[in-house]
Amino acid sequence: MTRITESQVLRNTIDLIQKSRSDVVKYSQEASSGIAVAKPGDDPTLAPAIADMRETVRRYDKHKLRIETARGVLGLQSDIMTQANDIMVRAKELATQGANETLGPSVRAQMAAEVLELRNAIVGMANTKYQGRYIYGGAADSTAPYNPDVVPYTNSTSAEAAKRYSYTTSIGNDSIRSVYVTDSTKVDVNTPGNQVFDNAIHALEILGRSLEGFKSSTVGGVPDGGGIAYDFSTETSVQTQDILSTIDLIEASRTNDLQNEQVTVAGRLARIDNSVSILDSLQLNLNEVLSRTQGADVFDSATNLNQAQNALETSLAVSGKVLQISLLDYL
Amino acid sequence: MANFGAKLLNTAISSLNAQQGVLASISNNIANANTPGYARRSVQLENQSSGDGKTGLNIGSGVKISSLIRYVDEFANRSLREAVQNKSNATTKDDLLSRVEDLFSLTGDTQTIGITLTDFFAALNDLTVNPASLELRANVIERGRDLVGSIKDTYNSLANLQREIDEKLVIEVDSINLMTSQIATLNQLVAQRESTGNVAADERDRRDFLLEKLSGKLSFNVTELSDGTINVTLPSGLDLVYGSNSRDLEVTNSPSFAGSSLPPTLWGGTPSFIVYNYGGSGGAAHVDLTGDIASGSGGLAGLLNVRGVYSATDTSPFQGDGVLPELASRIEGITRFLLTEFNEEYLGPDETSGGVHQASSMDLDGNIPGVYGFFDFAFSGLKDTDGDGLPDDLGTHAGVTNYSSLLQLASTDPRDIAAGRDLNATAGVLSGAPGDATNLQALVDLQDDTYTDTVGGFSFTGTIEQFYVNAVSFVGNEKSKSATDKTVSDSNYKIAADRRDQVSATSIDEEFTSLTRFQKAYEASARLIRIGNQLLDEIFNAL
Repeated sequence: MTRITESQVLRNTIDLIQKSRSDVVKYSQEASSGIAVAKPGDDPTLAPAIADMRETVRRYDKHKLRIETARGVLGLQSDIMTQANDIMVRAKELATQGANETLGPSVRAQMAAEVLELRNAIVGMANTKYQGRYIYGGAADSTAPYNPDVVPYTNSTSAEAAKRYSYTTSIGNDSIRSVYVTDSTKVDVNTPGNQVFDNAIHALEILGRSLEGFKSSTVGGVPDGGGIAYDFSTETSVQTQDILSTIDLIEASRTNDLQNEQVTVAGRLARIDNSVSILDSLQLNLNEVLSRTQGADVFDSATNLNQAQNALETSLAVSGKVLQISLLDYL
Repeated sequence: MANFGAKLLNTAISSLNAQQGVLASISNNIANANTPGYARRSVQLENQSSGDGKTGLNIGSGVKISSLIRYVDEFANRSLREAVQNKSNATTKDDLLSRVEDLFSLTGDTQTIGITLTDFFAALNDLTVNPASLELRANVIERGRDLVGSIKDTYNSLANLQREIDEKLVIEVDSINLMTSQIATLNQLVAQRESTGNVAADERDRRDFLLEKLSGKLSFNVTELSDGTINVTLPSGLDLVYGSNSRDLEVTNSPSFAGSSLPPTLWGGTPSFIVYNYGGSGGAAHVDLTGDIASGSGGLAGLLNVRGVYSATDTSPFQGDGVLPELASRIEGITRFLLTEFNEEYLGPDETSGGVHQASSMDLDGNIPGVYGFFDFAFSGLKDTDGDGLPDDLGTHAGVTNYSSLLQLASTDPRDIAAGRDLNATAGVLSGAPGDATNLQALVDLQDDTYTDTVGGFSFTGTIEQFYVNAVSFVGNEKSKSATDKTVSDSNYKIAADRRDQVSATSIDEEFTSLTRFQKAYEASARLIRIGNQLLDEIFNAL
């Protein structure tokens, strides 16, 4: 028969109580935090995957924040395109009205003032700032992309009409920035202004000058500032023809540039929305996997905690009984 | 006629003496029921024979104490010592690794290196939306600071732990020396007492207990000699105790077997070596026992396995064989990535054709960054030691043994971030634009690039985030191994301690049963004397 001594009984009793107590602590932590693998040693096979997933979830969160910034700047561009489109529609109306030969040079000159206003509005849009930076300036976004050229229009009747706007020549003016909106998808967040506004501004300036009473000399379709006044005794029909020809220019800039940009920006916004839903879905999946791998099953933890508490109570009760029993009480 | 009356009295007296001896031994067992190392004893009785020549009847002359038995099972004691060694080894490692493990939390709410790396690259990505934004630039600087902070904190925690362990070695070795000298003294006492034929029970108990305590420190072999003394020998063959002599171990960080330079540690000092000094007054002649002790078991091996064992010829703190150097290698790998790969990309493509690398990236004011332009390290001398304009000089800076503890940002001015690159087509003529994010985009793409590095004995190929994940995996495996070892060794210790106690420990029940038994015998013997007395009275009264 094995000899059992008090020291053995005592050691076993303490071991049992300590084991039960540490189980109670472990499961109560699990149940309250919802996390079963909190440290690498809790499960070394899952730990690398969990660390990786934690970083990925974090990265997705950052993508989502960045998407909101990108959405802000692209949303602004979309609004600008809508407004610019409206302006060009109005310009076309003015050109159509102005082409009516029954209008005399003075009425046409008055209409020129409104066309100039429209030109200025388009220039204002091209020079829009977002968070302090010119969004149509390419990488040269610290200076306004459109400024009056050093060579103004000749013979103009006013200083405003003499302004001939041209796109900045600063280095980097043609840069396009693209940002990651998911781990692998990049979206362009800007378009150099000349690709969008050059033709519209030129069309409006040619129309304005025609209505004002001046021809426009162009190089490759771009006005160079030159152009003499119409001789209204013989050239009224020439003026009318010039006004009519700007309708094509206005329409071309509207459909080829502005609407095209509007569609492009809408496409980028759609990609962003799509990215958000992809990120949401990825994140949902990842969080599910994370909670499956790292998370504690609440029911399991609660059950285990209950069992551990019972075990502790039992071991305490048993210890109380066992330790009390002594031959001394019977001698 | 035989004098049976006198015999009766003598027998009763011998019994009283013998029972008293047994009762004294029982009371000693009870008194030491909770004394560590005590092995219960039992007085053995023997009948005292004396043939009665006159009657021819061999009635006997009572009882006498023949010997003292000390209940010890040497095999159980050896098993217990082995169990104590393993338990102490596993517990030491597990406690230390728990502290290391805390640096690599998986809950996602701690600023671990993994999290700060992700945040830093996200901040660079954010800046690509609006490269000239001072707010977004400040965010990159802050996230860069966090990353540098988490790397330095993690590295320094590992380095401080290594230093703490190193300092603890002195205390451990002092306590080993004290124990071995006590064992040697006890050896002498055992030999003296047992030369007279007695059992040196007290001395053996104390010696066994010291051996058990010594097992908590290191591995050794015990050989008992015929005179009752023991030799305590290290696995390498060095006797720590032989007869009444003991050898003191020493802890030194300037061992005689080392050359002019000693290996550096993570914290920057030199590692301690555990040695025995064979030299006399003429000078030290150390023999290195560190590796021998580390390959055994016990708490000292646990400490060394975590601190790392260095060879005197090692030149890097990451060459140490142990958990901390191996883990710190992974952290250093991340630092080296930032200082070399990241910084090189940060400089942009070379603007010249060959020769010194001419940076092509620019900050908000058109200035190009220095060689260690974004991530820098604290060093007062020349950093670009080969003068090639590239951050490829790690390992050539005098006095620098690690870069993780020296890591810092080159500038904390948001304007100094080189977000763009030269946009001018003419080579050598630099012009940039404030809204250019070309450099940032190249840096962001680095996150997915595969990078290879070897630090100490650690070699890895993967993305920078995988470097961190590898460190998590390493810590997890080491901690899990030590936790399993601890559970197994705890359970083995319990089994071994139970086996020892089954033989040697006092059982109060048992002792009290014996006490009652011998007390009754004592009472009966006393009654015999009264009866003998009555018999004599009867005779006297009859006269």
